[in-house]
Amino acid sequence: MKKVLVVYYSRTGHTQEMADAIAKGAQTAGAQAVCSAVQDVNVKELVQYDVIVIGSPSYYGAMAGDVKKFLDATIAVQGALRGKVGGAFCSSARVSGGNETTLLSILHAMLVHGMVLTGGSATFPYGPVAIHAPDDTTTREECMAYGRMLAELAAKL
Amino acid sequence: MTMSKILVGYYSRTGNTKTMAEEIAAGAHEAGAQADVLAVESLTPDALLPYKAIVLGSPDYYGGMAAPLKKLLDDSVKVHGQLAGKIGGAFASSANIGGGNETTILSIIQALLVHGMIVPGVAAGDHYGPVAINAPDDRALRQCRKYGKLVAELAAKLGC
Repeated sequence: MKKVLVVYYSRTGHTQEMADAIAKGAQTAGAQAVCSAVQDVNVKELVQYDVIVIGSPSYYGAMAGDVKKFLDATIAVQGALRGKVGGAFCSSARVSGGNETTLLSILHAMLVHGMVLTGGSATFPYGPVAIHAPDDTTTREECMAYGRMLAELAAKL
Repeated sequence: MTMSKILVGYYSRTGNTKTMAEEIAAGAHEAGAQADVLAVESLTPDALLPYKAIVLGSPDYYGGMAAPLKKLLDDSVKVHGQLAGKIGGAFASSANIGGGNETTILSIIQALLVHGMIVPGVAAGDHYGPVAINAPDDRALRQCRKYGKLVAELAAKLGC
């Protein structure tokens, strides 16, 4: 069974809701999925997972400082994440609030780790995004579809 | 297992990016794949369809890809949806260190992600894809060969 870790930073709970939906989606593909706040994850734990998905609110067009701090600390496992599947998700206060630039800032770090990324669907090419709360069913469904897609890719690898 | 078919598309005026393309193809070949090296001007969106992996390279023009490659990617909307699940990769050459190689590669990778393609990173080496400064030196050629191999191995793993 593939193991999926969904890491998030969330102050309002919006990004956390997205994380829960992504984990649920991964479970529908038969994976075991765990959601953790970034503050609770030790970078050494990452090596046990087949899929690592990281989500953040958009702060000044990029990931929150806590997520960047976490990614900076992953130098401790540089080389050990190679070939794992990576993904990102983001929530923002407004349309054009930096969701895509935030996603890309996370995906860039994953490429440096040698992880394998996948484009999402036509509606969320870099990863799912929400404006404020992911209260519409579309965003939740997109998050679930993304979780499922990442778990299925890991199963193929 | 059938042999993976890999396309290495490039735009090159000086021949530097073309040299990189050939080296990437050589790496893919080493890993047991069949690789075609073609200039982007000779490619159409439909021509992309038979390949399981598509690696695109460009010189760095103003921090992004050259217009002929951008045009091919723009036109590829015609086959949108049909490239999803294929493997994608990118490479770039620049006249200067700090000349925009990485931003050029990322501009290509972003388009590949919009297509729903699968893109590997490189843990040790040129992380986003191979880069060269002017004519590719031994270091750059090694990165190209390694990248071609990585892409071909990923294609094989995904049963392409």
